[in-house]
Amino acid sequence: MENQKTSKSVVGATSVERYLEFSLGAEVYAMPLLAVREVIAVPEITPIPYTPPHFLGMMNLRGQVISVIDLRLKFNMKQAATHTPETAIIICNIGSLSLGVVVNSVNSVLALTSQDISEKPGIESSINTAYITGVTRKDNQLVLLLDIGKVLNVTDYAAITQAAPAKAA
Amino acid sequence: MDDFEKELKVGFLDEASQLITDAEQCFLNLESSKDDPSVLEKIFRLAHNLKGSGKAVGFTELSEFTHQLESLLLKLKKGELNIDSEIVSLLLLCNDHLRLMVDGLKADIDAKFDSTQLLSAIGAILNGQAPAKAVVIPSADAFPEEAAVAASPIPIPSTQDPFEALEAVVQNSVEAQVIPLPVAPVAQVSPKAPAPPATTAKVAASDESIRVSLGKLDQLVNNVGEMVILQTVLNQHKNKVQSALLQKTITQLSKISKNIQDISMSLRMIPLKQTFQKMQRIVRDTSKTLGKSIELHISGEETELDKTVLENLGDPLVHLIRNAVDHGIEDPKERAAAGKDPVGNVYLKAYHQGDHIVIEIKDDGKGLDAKKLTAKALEKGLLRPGQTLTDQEAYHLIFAPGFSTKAVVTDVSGRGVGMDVVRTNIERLSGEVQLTTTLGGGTCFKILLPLTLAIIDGMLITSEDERYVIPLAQVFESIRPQDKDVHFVTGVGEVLTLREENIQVYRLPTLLSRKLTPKPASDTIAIVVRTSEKPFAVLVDEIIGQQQVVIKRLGAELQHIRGFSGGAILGDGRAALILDMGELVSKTKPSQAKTSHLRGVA
Amino acid sequence: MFDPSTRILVIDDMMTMRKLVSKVCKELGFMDLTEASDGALGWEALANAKPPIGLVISDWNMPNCTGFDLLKRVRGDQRFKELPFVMVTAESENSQVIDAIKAGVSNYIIKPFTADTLKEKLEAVHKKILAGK
Repeated sequence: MENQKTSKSVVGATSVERYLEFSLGAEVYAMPLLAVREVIAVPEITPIPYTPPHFLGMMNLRGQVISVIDLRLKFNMKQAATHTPETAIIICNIGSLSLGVVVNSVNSVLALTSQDISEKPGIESSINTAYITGVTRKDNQLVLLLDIGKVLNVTDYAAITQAAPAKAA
Repeated sequence: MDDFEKELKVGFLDEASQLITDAEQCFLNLESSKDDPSVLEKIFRLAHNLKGSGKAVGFTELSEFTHQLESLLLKLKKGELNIDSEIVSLLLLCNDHLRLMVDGLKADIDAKFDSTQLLSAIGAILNGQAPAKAVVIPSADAFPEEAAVAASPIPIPSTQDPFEALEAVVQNSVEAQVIPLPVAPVAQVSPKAPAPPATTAKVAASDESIRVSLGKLDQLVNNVGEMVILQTVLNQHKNKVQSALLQKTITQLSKISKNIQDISMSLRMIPLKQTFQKMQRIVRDTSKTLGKSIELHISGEETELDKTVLENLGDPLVHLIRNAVDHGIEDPKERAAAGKDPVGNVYLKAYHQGDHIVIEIKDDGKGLDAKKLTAKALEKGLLRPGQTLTDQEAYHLIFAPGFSTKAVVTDVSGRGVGMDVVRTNIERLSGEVQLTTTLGGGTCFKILLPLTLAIIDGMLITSEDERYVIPLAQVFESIRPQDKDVHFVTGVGEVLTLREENIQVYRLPTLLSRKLTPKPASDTIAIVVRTSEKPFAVLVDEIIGQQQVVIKRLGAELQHIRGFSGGAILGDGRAALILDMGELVSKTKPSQAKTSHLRGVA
Repeated sequence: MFDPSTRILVIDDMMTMRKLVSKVCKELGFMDLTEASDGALGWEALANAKPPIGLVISDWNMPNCTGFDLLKRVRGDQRFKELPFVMVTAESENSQVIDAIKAGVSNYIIKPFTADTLKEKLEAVHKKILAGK
């Protein structure tokens, strides 16, 4: 899984992209395997003041300090952050940034061709469809393909800045 | 391009950068040390070396430019041209251009440059000053030895080997001139002749160093940091170990760890020399623009700083220096009227002081005027009418955003960045700026910087069941207050009376905007901080201990939060935040504090 | 031609040039190369070399002790009277070259140069030594 080069292989004329499928609350999502550095069990997390609620805090990943966020809180899902033995953290690489994302469980790796992916329909999900790049089906279950970079981008920086009290004015 | 050529080119550019930096000082000294041939000699060697090596590794443009520069320098060296301020300015421009080319080539090895303007300026001087001699500026192709021979004033018999030809000419001329002692040149050098300078103590030449990527260095420092933490754990549990041998080993290991830590930290250290030398140029250019006569005195340039600190120190330093030249030092007339030497002095010093490196920027100018500053602040609405400030508080007004003491925004130092930016930049480096001033006598800024950024001595504390690290450098003292020492003062908040001094008190959870369990002061520990202008105390729950921690950068997603200098990994493997007490306090509204009406001055 | 095992001392204050000269020497088959970064260090290296240096290739314009000063010093030492000493120079000023010849330089080479040029020069030096013996 760590070898990013193998995550994209060519079968015939159709290129296959690999996705990591995971559960968030009652919904199933997948993100490109290229964005995934590794998956780990939930470690001790130290809270960080002045961050929005979905910022759970920071963790030690072999000497590196990495922020951990809970997408369930980010997406305002009803099922809150309960930890089960299946709960895992996906360490994502977004640009030069490494972030830990808490998910209910990591399910499998999907190999999808472009035929397998349909445009995002007017689906019902808890989240902003701007984060969704497409939809696929697996055993009659809808799998939403998540653009993790978009989810965590600019908006969150803004949120953090806002969460901090204004400078002494 | 083969690997060797590439390596050679890259190596050359590094070497060239170093040479240019070394020479910059000489360019500046030219005016003042006209009679010192060694200064010109060094610049000449720079041009000469860049020309020769540049050509050899294939940087033709650079080589052609330096060739022309060398011609000019040669005239200066021979005394055919006088060194005046115009020529020095031109030489400085040439130096800039060289640096531009070298930096440009570093970025793109095939970069092209336009040197025509400077080349024609040099050409004009070469031609203008020596019109009679019909200076032939050899083209870059003049390097092949044919040119040397062709230019020879001595007729040379046409043989195949120019060396033999020259040798023959020499032999002939030696004989023809009937120089006694055919071995004269050799005989002059008796074995007892003054030996070349002793070289035993000479610092290792550049080839004895290797280039290491900063990434690798940081990895090393990171790992050493982890090692130091584990060492701390080992030391803490040493007494639980039964075996005397193990105990002894731990002690020895501890010493070695410390050594490795020191060495690996020193790898990132770079002398201030280059940065200081840039200031020489800035003083020269700035004072010239302003029509002032100013001397910059530099000392301690061998002092070393962490690379990251050094890189971020440049801009604040430039600003402070410009400021001293522009606002600090008076016009020559004004100085004369005040009975001062019309030549102003700016002192740039670096030295060690305890755990800090101090960089001092001092001028003998007019000093700050507390009254004028206060008036200005009133005018700008930074102060409320009727509000009084101590002189010290008034001086610190200059750090307030948008505060400029000069009515006319000059071309020199009035360019957007203010002293507030200087202070912010320094504080970002975990440093601080101190200021002392005497009206009519001058102003002194002291920048205090931590020796290294990577590892700090930290105090591990708890607050509401969470652990934080406070840099020990920020802790003046920690005391367990008695309830009677902490009072609530209406309009101020909690105040700690400590040895007859009243100190503003903050509860850490409040500073961190977290839930606060009310508890009596006697159940807390007061951490007294005196690094800011006003001392303050922060109440925490417990002190767990002191330990060295490696500062880990927080992710970009957290960079915007003020008050944290980074993360640290504690002995048990959990992450903790390193707090910056001054920043935390300044970020919370200084509610009813006296200076609350002072924007940015807290 | 010089034996490939000849010890060559390359002296130049520019690392780039030392590398380049050494590389060219290696291309010519020489294997035993020593470098020094100025005339003074060059003298140290020369005076203390064991086994002795068989050929010096030195830059002219260097701090501390120039190639020319080094040359005079070398020729002034009984041990090095016959040591092949090639001056590398960018001087187009042949008055200097003439000084060097007077001081006993074996040959000179103007940079930049190719392996072929250096080879020619070294062959010329070698021939002269043979002729001298």
